Amino acid sequence: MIESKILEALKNDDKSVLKSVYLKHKSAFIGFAKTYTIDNEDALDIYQDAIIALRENALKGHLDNLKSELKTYLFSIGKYMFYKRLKEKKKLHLIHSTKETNDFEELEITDIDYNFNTRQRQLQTAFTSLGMQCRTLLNLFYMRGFTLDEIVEELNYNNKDVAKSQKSRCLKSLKKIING
Amino acid sequence: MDKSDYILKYFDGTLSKEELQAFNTLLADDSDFKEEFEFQKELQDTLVLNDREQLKKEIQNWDTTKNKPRFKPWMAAASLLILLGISWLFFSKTQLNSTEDLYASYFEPYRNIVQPIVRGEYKDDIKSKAFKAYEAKDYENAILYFNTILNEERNTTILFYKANTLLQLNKTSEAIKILETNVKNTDTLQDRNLWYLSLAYLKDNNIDASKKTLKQLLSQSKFKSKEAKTLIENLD
Repeated sequence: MIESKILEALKNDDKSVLKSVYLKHKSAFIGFAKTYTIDNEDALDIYQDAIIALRENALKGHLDNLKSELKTYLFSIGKYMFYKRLKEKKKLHLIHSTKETNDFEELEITDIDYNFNTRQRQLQTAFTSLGMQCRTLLNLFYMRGFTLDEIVEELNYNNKDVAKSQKSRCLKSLKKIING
Repeated sequence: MDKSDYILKYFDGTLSKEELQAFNTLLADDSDFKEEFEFQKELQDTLVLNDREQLKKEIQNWDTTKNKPRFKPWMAAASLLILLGISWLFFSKTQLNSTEDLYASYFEPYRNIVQPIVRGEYKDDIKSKAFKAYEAKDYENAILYFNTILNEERNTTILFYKANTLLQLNKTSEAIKILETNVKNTDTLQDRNLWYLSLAYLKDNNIDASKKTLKQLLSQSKFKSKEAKTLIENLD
């Protein structure tokens, strides 16, 4: 598959392509991590997060005008995460880190964490008990950043108003689940 | 412009400069508006985290499926088969009743999430009737309507509800056939299909298949995960 096709598939949230990217660069990445004194377990964990960051950035359109190769991009994300991990473990010397952080400016990396606050956990639980239609709609709108027009097309609604009122109905049920 | 449209446009990223100003004024002056906006913003953060958490789990599975070739799976499979065979001899009689009981205690027809959003066209009228019958537990008629819809279009969601209806009518093997195909063909209602497939197997007294399906469900989704875990324990 040529690179532009891969990027396009990633932007459309094609998980099978993401998986093939993941498997393709895995061992090289873990080798790369070794040069930063990161052990295998940490390396794998970071690699998974780098893949997640790659996907999130692809969905946001940050990769639309990617100048470097996908692998180079993925590895720069990884490098950023190595520094972060080393810093957390206080293994990194200060000079080293300030010199290198300039490299990351154009990457637009969101830190990949999994820290839900209490309110967010509650929202998550309520969300999972919504019907499938609502979950799809809300995910497309809030997570994937689809506009209402794009949602109309994706979910075959008759028009924008139908999508809009369906969306507010979903929000209402969500609140109802939370507030009882 | 309606107040809620400002929030909508905020998330769409289409607020003009003037609208952005109005938006900020509303945020500062209108506490209801602020509360609604903050709710949606929190929801957005939650959904990003939720998606990330799901994907991380999924990726971890990509590793396990690739990295286990060395021990001999056929040996484990063979000994499991023997074990199951032996226990089957011991327990099959008593379990005939208990699987039926277990099925009855877990099964409840999946609630209708389709009909409320359909309106208008003729085809949708049939859908409304189908789900009205389904909700009224008039399963004989529901089947007829579902079949009418399915004659016109293959729709995995409708098939899923048809399978639920068939289970109610004790047409278990027909239901199993539908759910098995659905599980293979679609990922939209995958977790729901898996859950009901496991119950259908249970009803059919096929404990192994039921357990296998429950495990598949657990590995993919949080849907009914508590029930699935207890059910597996009960079946062991």
